[in-house]
Amino acid sequence: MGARKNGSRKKSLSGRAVAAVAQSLFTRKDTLLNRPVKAVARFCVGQFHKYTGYMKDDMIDSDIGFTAEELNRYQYGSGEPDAAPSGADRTD
Amino acid sequence: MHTKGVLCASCDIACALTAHVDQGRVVKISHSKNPLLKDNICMKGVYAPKGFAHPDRVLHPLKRVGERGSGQWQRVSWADAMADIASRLRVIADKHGPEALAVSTSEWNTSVDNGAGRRFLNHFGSPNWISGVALCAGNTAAVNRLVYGWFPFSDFARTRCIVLFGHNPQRHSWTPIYNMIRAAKVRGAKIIVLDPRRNESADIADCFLPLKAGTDAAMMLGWVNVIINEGLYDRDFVANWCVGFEALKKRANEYPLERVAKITGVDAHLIRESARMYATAKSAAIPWTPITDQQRNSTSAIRLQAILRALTGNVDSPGGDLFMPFHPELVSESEIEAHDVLPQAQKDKQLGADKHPVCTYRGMEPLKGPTRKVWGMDYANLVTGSYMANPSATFRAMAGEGPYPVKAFFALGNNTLLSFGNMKLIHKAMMNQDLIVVHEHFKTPTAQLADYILPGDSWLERPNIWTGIGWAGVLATSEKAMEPPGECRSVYDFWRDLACRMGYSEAFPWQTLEDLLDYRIKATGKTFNEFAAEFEYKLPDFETRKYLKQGFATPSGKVELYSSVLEGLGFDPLPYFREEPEAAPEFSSRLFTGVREDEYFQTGGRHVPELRKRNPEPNIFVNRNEARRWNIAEGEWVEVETKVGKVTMKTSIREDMPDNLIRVPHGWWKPEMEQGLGKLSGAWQYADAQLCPDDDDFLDREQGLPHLRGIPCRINRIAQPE
Repeated sequence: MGARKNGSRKKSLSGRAVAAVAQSLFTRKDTLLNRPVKAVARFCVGQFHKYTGYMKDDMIDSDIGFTAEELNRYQYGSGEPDAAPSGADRTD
Repeated sequence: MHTKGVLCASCDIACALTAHVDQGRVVKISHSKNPLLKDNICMKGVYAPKGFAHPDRVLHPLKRVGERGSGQWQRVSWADAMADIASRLRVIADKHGPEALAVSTSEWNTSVDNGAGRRFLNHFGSPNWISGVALCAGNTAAVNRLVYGWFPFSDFARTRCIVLFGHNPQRHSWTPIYNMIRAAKVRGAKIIVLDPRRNESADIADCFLPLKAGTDAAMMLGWVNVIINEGLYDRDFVANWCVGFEALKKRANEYPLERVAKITGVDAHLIRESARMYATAKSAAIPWTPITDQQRNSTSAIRLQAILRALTGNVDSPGGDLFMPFHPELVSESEIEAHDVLPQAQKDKQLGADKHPVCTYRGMEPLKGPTRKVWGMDYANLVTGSYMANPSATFRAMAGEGPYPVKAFFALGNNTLLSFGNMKLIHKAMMNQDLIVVHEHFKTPTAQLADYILPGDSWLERPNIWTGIGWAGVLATSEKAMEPPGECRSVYDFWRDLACRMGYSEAFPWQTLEDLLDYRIKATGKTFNEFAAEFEYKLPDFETRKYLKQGFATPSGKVELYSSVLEGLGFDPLPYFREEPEAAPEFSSRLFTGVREDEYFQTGGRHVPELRKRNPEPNIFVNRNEARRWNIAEGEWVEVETKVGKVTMKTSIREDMPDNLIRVPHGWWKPEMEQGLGKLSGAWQYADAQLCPDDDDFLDREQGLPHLRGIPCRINRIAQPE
């Protein structure tokens, strides 16, 4: 039992260190800690992709999105943004 | 141009993404800035800005002015709509009791419910809450709780073996799971795939078992037989932490491999080898799968997955399947839902609890004390699947078939008509309502039958906290990237407004969704906006083997291979396999449905031009032999017919399909088609829910959910529909 307890404590300490590094990857802010961690992760993921390549996807990779004007025109046509949506008063 | 960190809700996975905002609009979606999450993106997320900008999106509250389903609508204000809804709901409750209100949600789509809907219902007094999770993960969570008191999440990062029961994550469906499985394979993990179809996951499998549709429980009984009789189980774990081993052994011995081979159609030698591969792996995970959620033997199949985890010592162990507790810094949805407020007399009225109790209050009652002891709460509504009314029973009550009237129905982010079995019954149920309120983006077939369509916001237009509804452990945040268009509002706004009008304002002290989110993360000492600006994910404590300290949240405190809860409810306490009923000779093929396609999530997405172009029509998959048998060819239109209904689909001949099996896609309707009763935008023509019977032969006994894997059917060739 004693050995297990000691083992658990060691694991817990290393576990905490791993958890701290892992958490730094999931923060939005750039800090002195997570900048190098993210750089290493980016490098490793890049190498992994070179090796595997299973995530390549033309549809995703070539997407350029839309423009605000394009989406406004698509949604509202030439009408006002607050106009009733098409079909709001349909009686079919 | 600036960016916001968002969580996609275009499916149920919640990928972290980046929204690019220009002139107040999200104009592009790209991957997360986090290198570890950058591959978690699919076409549904990329085209979401276009989907939410669709010209037919409902932007203002609409009130029905003609007959139900006539398609005649009048634009009204939110205030007028809510006042009328509250007034009519009060009349219905006064006449029939509060249980006369039933609510259906998808949970994943609305995603900002935060437990508020259930909180309203519990204060109002109705136990009749149904959800798409009855067929997808929620029910799995409830059944897992019967075995070991919680619902695990697979440790993909460390596992040495992954077993996929028909689950087929792809580049554009369940993308993070697809990535984790591929990464595990690269690390050297073994992959075992069980699927009637030689699916894409089978291409990377070390072992592929092409079992007959719906025979998963029999296959697992065969595995249990091998693992026990060859001594491959974890003796220490079984001796110290399991009850009912000898009874399970006796049951497994009723399924010798010759019998299992006959039922599943898989060679006995392959069954034995795959069982050995799983049991002897250093660690092994059986990820959740929708396939075993939707079968006649679902309760047994889900329990057997849990039992296999236990027998092999992979419960809450590194590389196995982990118990993720509710995040300690977050007020859980379960707490907000306030199930203790609903009186026992009302809980006892929950529809379906008498016949199919597993996912109801009645079924979960024996776990209340153990859950408090182990996890610190009475009600742990994991994936919101633990305290649901039974959908079929609810629709029957709505249709006037008893045991009492249900006359008001709310559908929030849920295309109810197409989302459960027996669409004809659901239609009849909806036509028998005094009040139907739908909170939606579009005039779905369900919305077309409503009294009110209330305009819903989207995941780009609201802040959010995500934890997989208690399943994933992680606390993820989503920033609001743009204002909702028109008068679109969140479901939280709907529930709070209604609660205040019905006299429960004290139960909803949070005026806005942001206030509620601030409350939920108060333990962090930050406001939601401060927290979300800092954290994309707040990781959980990954401590494993927590049972060593706290035991399991079951009546015995151990893993119940022999279920005391099921026994108490009058069911077989051991897992079993129920053979399919005799089918009429003309229905000589079998179909499986409920399958999502890459471009769409459930019944949504058909309005997005770029996605529709990729997948314009509903296609059945058959192989050449099956096509020859039914005299159909590639691209031809056919009718797929079962004893309860038929749908129109196009033929796609695929060599990965086995003989005698037809794959039917889920959730089809065409937003561009004629609306209103009799048409419902093509739902009567295409929706697979018409094919699914819900009589006793086709319902799982314990949960009462429909069998979608192996329904007897036939095919008739037809002319191209207009």
